[in-house]
Order: sequence, then C-alpha cells, then structure tokens
Amino acid sequence: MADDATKVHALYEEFVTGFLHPLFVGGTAQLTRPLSASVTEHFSLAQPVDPNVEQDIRIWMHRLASEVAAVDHVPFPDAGAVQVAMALHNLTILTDPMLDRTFSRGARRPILEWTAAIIAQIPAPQTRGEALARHAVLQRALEAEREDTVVKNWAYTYRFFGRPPPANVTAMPRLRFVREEKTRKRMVQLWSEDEPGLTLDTQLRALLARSPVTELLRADLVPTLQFGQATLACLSDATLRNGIVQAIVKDGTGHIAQPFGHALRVLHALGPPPEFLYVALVFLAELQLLEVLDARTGHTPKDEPAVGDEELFAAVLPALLRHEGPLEHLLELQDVDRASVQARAVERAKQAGEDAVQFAASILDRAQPVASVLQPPSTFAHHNA
Amino acid sequence: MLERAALHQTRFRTPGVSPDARGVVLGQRGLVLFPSVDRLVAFFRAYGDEGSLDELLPSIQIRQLVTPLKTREIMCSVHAESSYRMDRIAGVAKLAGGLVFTGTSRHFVKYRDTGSPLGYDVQELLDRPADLVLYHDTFRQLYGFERELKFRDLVFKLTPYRQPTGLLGMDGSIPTRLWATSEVGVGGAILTYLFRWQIPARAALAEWPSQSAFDDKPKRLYVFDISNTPERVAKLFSQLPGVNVFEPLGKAFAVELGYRHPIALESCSSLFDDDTLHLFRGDGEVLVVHPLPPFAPVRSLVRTNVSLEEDVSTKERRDGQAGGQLGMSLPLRLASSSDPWRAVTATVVPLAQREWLSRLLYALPPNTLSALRVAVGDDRFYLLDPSGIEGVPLGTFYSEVAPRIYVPSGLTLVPAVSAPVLQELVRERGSGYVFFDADQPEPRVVSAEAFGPVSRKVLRELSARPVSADRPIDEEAPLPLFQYDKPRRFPLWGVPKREETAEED
Repeated sequence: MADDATKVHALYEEFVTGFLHPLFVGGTAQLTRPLSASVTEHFSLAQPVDPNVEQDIRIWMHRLASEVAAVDHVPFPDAGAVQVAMALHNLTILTDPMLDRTFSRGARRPILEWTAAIIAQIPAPQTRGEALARHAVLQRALEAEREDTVVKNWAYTYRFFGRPPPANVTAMPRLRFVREEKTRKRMVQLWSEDEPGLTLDTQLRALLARSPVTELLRADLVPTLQFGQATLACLSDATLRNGIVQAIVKDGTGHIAQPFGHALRVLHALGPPPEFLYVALVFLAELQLLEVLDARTGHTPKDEPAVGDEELFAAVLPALLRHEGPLEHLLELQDVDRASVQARAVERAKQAGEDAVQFAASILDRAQPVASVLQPPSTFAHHNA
Repeated sequence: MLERAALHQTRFRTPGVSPDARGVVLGQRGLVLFPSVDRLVAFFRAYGDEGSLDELLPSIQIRQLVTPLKTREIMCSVHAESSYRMDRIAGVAKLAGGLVFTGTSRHFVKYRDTGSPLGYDVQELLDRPADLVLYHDTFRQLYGFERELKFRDLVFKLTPYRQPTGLLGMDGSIPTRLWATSEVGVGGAILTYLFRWQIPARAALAEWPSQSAFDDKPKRLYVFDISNTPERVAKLFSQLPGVNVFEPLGKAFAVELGYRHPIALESCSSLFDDDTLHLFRGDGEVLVVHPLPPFAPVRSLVRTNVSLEEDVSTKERRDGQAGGQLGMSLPLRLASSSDPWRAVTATVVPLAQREWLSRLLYALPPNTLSALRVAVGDDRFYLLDPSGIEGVPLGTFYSEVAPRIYVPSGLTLVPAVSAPVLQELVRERGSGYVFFDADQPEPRVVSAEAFGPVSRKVLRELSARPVSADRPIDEEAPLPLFQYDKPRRFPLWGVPKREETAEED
C-alpha cells in the first residue's frame, strides 16, 4: 500500500508541476500517465512539494478569476478545480493519435470511462471562489494548443503530433536537407473532431456543465444551454452575475441570443419556482441594459439577433419596460440612459414581434425577487462574507 | 449588505462611484453622519484645529435628516475631490463619532476603512423613495431631508467658552494687538487714557439701527484697534464694565479675550468679509460692524489745550549773552515712511521661524532657490535675492537703501541722508552687508563670506541606498502548449490504482 501511495503522489507531482503549473504560467504543459478515478481523492487533498508551484498557481488563478468578478480568495487546492484539470488531462490524452495503434487502442475505453467518472464526481460550486477557480482552469485549457511538426528530409517525411521530433530525425540538417514545418491546432478543435465512438465533445460538454461560469461565457460551445440549478445559484450572486454580464457584453449579445433565449424558454417550460425565473430574467435584462449603456462608451455590439429563440431573448427588454413589478428597479436610470434603453426596446420589439414580447411579459410577471442567492443560498453569502 | 471592493474593480452597483488613481472607491461627494449637532461641532472643531475648513466651505451642505421612524440625525456633505481629503475627513469624523460615506446623488456607501482598504460596494440597491439612502456594513437606512443648516448660522449661534488659562493665550501671554468696544459713556475716557500712556491705537464709532420702537436712539459703540497693548492695560480693560476686549484672529474677526470659539475661526476665514468686522462676545452675542467705519488715531481724537508761552532761552540770547558752546550729534534713526516699498531684496527670519523657512524651501521653484543666498546668524537667518525677496514671505522684509545697506521695509532712515553719505557713515563695514534694526540703536554687519547659495548652505549631503528592483511580471501569460507523454505500447501499464478503478467499475 505504501508503495501505491508513493506512486500516486509521484504521479500527482508530475501532474501539478508538469501539467497544471505550465497551464497557468504558460509554456509547454507535459501530459503524464492517464489518471484513474480512484486517485481523485488523493489529488483533491494533496499539495505540491515545491511551494513556489502552489504560489504561482494561486496567483494566476486569482488573476484569471478577477478578470471576471471581484473575489478575495480563490481556493487551491480545490477539489472541483483539480478534478476539472484531471478530466481535461485525460481528455487531452485521448486526442493522441499514437493511442490508435495495436495494443494501445484498447486503453482508450478505460481512460474515457475514468474521465466520465471523474466528471461525475465534480460537485456544484459552493462559493464564488470555487466557481471562478474551475473557470480559470477551463478557460486556460480552452485556449491551449497542440504543436504538430512535419519533418522532411531528402528521402522521407515524418509527422509528429503533439511531440517534439527526436534529435536523430533532425540531425545533420544541411547534409540531409532537413526541413521542419510546425503547425498549431486549438485543443477545442481537437476535442470536437474526435473519432466516432469516442464522444470527446460530449465529455467536454459535461465538463463545461460543471463550471457554470465557463458555460455561460462560452455559450458557443454549448448548443443546448440550460439554466441549471448550479448556473442559477451562480447567477444569484450579484457580483458574479455582473462580471459575467460584462464579459459577455464585451463580445456583443448577438451570438448568445439564441442559446440564452432557448435556455429561458426551457426554464419557463419546466415550471420552475418564481425565484429561479427572477434570477434568470435579471441576468438577461442586465445583459441587454448593459449593452445599451455601454454603447455610450464607444463599445458597439457585433451583430443583432434575428429569428427563432433569439426573438424571446430580444423580447425581454421591451417586456421589461412594460413590466410593473419586482424587476422595475432595473430601470431606475438617469433620463439619458433611460431614453437610450427605450429606443433599443422599440427596436427589439420590432425584431421580436408582439407575440414574443407578450410571452416574455408573462414570464416576467411570474418572477419573484430572491434575497441574494438561490439554493444553496447561505453558502454563497457565508463564504463571501 | 456591503462587499469589499477589489483591486482593479471598475464597475460598482453603487451609482456614481468609481475607483480613483489609488483604486479607492470614491463618489463625487463625501458624507458624514452624526447623531447630534454637538458631534458635528466637535467634528468642525477638530478639523479646523488640524487643517483648514476653508477648503470644505465652498461645497459644504449641512442638513437635518429624518428617518421613517422620525428619529433625527445630522449630515454634513462636501465635495470628495480625492481620497486623501476623504481620509482626513474620515479620520477626524471617527474621532467625533461620525460615520463616513461616499456617493454622488442619493445612494451613499460606506467609505473605506481598515476592514476594506479600497472601499465598499453595495450588494443590492434599495429602491424605495427617499431623499438619501445610506449603506453601512451594519445597517442601511432611508432618510428624508428636514431642513438645511447654514454653516455661517452655526458659527454665529455657537457661544464661545471661557478658556481655562484666563486672559492668557495658548503661548502664556496676552496678545499685544487687541480690539475693544466700549459704550459711548466710557469711550471718551478710554481715548484719553490711551493717549496719555502713548499706546498706539485707532478708534472708530460704530452704529447700529435701533432694534425696537422703544429705543430712542440707535445703538452706538466705540471700536478701538489697539496695537502694542501693555498687559496691565489689557487686564484693566477686560475688567471695566461697558468695555469688551477682543483678540483678533484674522483680518476682520475676533473673539473676546479669555474666550475661545468652539470652532477654530482662523480655519474658516473665508466666512468673514474684509470690509465687515465680526466680534464674538463671550455671552454669545456677535457684533457685526458693517460697513466698517473710518478709524482715526486716538491722538487726533483726544481733546488738547493749546497754550502759547515765550521761549525763555532765546530771550536770553537776544540779551547778548552766549548760551555756551553748543555741539550737535545726531544719531541715525529709523522712522516709519508712507513711501511705497522699493528694492525689497532681503529678509531676516528669526530663529523661531526656522521650521517654516525649511518647509518653504521645499516649495520654492528652482529659479528662486538658485538666486537665493543665505547667511546663518546666531539667532536669525539673513536671506538675499537681488531680483526681489517676495518668494520668501517670512520674517522682516528689508529694503536696500544704499548698496549693501538695508533698512526694514516701511521704515526709512532719518535724517534722510543720500546713499553716498550713508555709505561713508558706515565705512568700517568693509565688504559686509549692513542691516538696521528697528529695536537696536546700532546696525548689524554680516560679512559677505557668510552668504552662500541655499543649496550649499542648508542641504544635507545625499547618500544613495541601493535597493532591489525587478521588472514587473507580465500580465498576460503565454498560451499553454500541450505535449503528449512519450508513446507507450501499453499505455495503462503501471498506472497507479488502475485495478481499484476496474473493481469499482
């Protein structure tokens, strides 16, 4: 047993120092052995031997988290964030073409099952810090790339995917007319182009669902976005909601109109408690209000929504202007701002159509204010205090 | 109710607040909430003692507030301007038992404290109708405005209190420059008294219209401006019925001798116009003399009897008897002159003002500093600037009446000798600089070698201390590049806890 524990910790050191640390500070993140679901507990509690590694990860996690919302402290080691990183690690291993060989091909199924088990163990985030920690990990991983090298000499062509070419291949470059071509591929692209049967994109979507902040910010990766309980819990935290809204508005609300409109429609269809509706509507209304008000500072959204679920999203703003109820306070603006919002609402009402506006108004009428957070309500407030 | 603002946070839910250059959350106005007026006065008193209330006065608003439960509190709101000013206000307000907030129009959030060095932001805005909403970490409260108090009214309504040192000031002596008012009945006697003791003073007659129909004549008072008042005279006047003695605190306002106003009036001098005299009496009454009546020296107001007598000595001389050998030796004296000041190129700063001088030198522009030459005497500093000494508003200014001969500005040497004669008279000075003093019969000579540039004379030598400094870390980390582990024929061989997982599965 002692041997086993030592091996697990050695693997943890390799994982944190070789993979997680460069993931944040940049550079080459070296993948290690596949991680089984049984090591999750050890990985969630262990700490790296080198305190500088832990310190760097903390600093960069906090920096990335602060880009979204103000947060005092981002926990590390945090079980959720580490498990997200473990799942990403395994998903990346599965994109290795060298696994598609005789004998090694059989390893893909167990690795995929381990990954699914790890993802299934990840609990919903309980604090703002936790939500932002796992977003920081995912955000960096979604930006990561793989470098492929093609080496040609006078006789042969060699291809190396995600590994540097060995020295003997590139030796004596002049004599052997060695030429190297390097190309880079985004990991997101590799995960979505997996082979049939591997379902890496399904696993990635499941992983995104464990990080509500990433799910909302990268709605383009989630075709059927839903306002789940974890997502609504995050949105009920005003600071976090505000940060997410600002990050989305930076890129314009055009491309998220369809997924968010769809999410609102699904939420309404499920007949949720009025407090759930309130949180979702405040989020969507703030998105549109901030977009109008940001236009004054020179920011212009990229495109406008046109059809489908986008109509429902567009109808939230005109419906809000007709609304008389708990959401009214959102429109307590200065006269100039209010005029701009009204002008945009008229425009949106035209795009959405009267039916969509009335539908949205009926959803707004059902919404009831919630104190500050949803279930788990006390945990967010408690940890943030 | 509140959450702490974080570094680089740019958006806040509190309307009208934003981070300043230091990252501190700041609105356009700062607001201090007091439970009662006496706490407000304590705040003004402490703030005025430490700094200047004048900087707050242009934007100050004092209001009585009422909560929905009809309890009353007092607020004082000023332009925030910078977090430095707000820090001062917060520090003093804390002493006086006030709570400090910042905001712009209606919503005010708690100003920063040690718990949150960058300030606070509200979690949720209160949207109920109110004139003012305050958000503190322990409460949030709606207020309505009840009435506005003018700062000037507050100052005029406060009663001065008797100072524990009696007539003596903070420095243990009675000030020599005083103002006094006296009823018309004793005015004449005081005029004569002042003239008899040769106390330089000026007098005027102030008049106020009658307040009531029963008054048969307007109220009249003599107002005296007495300089160089001997201590016994000040004590005598302060004990005389019908006479009030005031200690001038500024150009146009004074508080009765032996009393102190609850608010440091010197720090809010902009309240008082120069053409109106404000005299705060110990019993709380404020005499406002407007317009200022013309003042005349007491010697011209006192009644004199002129009698003509024949000069006996000249009569004797007419008899042919010589009056003896008469010699004339006239010492040079300083006399006041009404001529405009010319060639004010030197100042003598007494030792007591050394601290001020050193502070001033930090503030001087480089060209003034380079032209300035200084000599350090036993008990005073001599400063010369051939282009004019106005840059150093300290000490006694001296005008150059002849090359390297200086007399205090506003005075002149009598008999009025010409510059070449004067140079001959002080021939033994060599290459030194001669300074005439009003209170010394003999002038002082400061040798030319004693003067040197300020930068050489007073600046300490510098020694640099090496400190460690690094480049700031890059804000943007380079993108991570994923690299696979070395290829294995059997990738799962040797993976720790692999079997356990298989069993669990």
